[in-house]
Amino acid sequence: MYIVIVGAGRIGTRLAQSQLAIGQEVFLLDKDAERVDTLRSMYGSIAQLGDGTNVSNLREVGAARAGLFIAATGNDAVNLASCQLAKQVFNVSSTVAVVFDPENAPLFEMLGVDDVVSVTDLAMTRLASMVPAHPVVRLMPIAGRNQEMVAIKVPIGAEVTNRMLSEIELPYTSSVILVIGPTGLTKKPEPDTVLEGEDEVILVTPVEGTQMLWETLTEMP
Amino acid sequence: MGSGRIGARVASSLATDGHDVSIIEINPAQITNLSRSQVDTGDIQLVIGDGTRAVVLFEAGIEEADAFLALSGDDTLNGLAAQKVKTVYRTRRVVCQVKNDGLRELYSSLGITVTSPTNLVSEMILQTVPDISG
Repeated sequence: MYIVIVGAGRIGTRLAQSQLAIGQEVFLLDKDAERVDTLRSMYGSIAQLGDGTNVSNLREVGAARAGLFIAATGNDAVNLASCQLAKQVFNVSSTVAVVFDPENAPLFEMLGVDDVVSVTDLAMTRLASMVPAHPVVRLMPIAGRNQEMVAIKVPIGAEVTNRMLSEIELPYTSSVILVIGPTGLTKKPEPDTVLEGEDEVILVTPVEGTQMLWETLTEMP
Repeated sequence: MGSGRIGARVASSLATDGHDVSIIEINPAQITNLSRSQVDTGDIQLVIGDGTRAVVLFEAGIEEADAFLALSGDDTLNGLAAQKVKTVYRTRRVVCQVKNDGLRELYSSLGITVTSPTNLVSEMILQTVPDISG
């Protein structure tokens, strides 16, 4: 597959290297001459100086035959514009935008970008899971739907402890996928599964229900 | 959004005509283009911040806005702000200043009114010399 990457910074370069290593055809576009020269000296003609929001530059790098188009500059606005041009002008079937401001992630999807990778959200997921009394850990968005998979740890003594799942009213249409006990033992979610303190509950929920779900599972009597 | 020469002039005229005007500027050094008296009297509300961010748009009163004009010198920031305002806040009139030809077509196809200073100026120059333009 031919992959076009706009932005040869840390993300774009690492991505290109990983794809070259597995034999994919990759081309990078970047505004910085030094970056482009470095890449060309290392890998041959896989990079060109140019602007990912410039239609002529996109044409030169063969955006029209790209199976995958990834905008990975450090600028959210540029990444959106590049993906939109790739889609509208060159009919690229699969576009991906990297975003740094989490509020841009849902918007970019609404505006037609096929996949959005929110760097800040990814870092937060890892960091939040390292804090002992963590809040909600967002494990992954459910592609194409306004839902996400989350993990919530039940605090010791919470209202929901020692109760069966069938007795706990979860907001919206959230559903429990798995319950992981403090020792790592997993419990299949049946109506009579009893929640205990320190249980890690994995759920799928509409995004707007996540906060309420957290409140339900962590509320103290 | 954008208090460069164009943004500042547009804001000043709209405020003089009696409209409630908020102007968003990302660079505090750039506000010298604004009319001091209009800012001091509150005819123009100045908000320092990134106009593509919800918190800044909110402070500028986007929820009550009848029109949003993205007039900064950065095409893609103008485009992002304009699309966010149109999609999230459903602001009725959205204008976006764009220099880049490809982006101009893209944004107009999305229902955004696009202006280009370069095109306007060159058209006006051609109009003043009708013999050349035909």
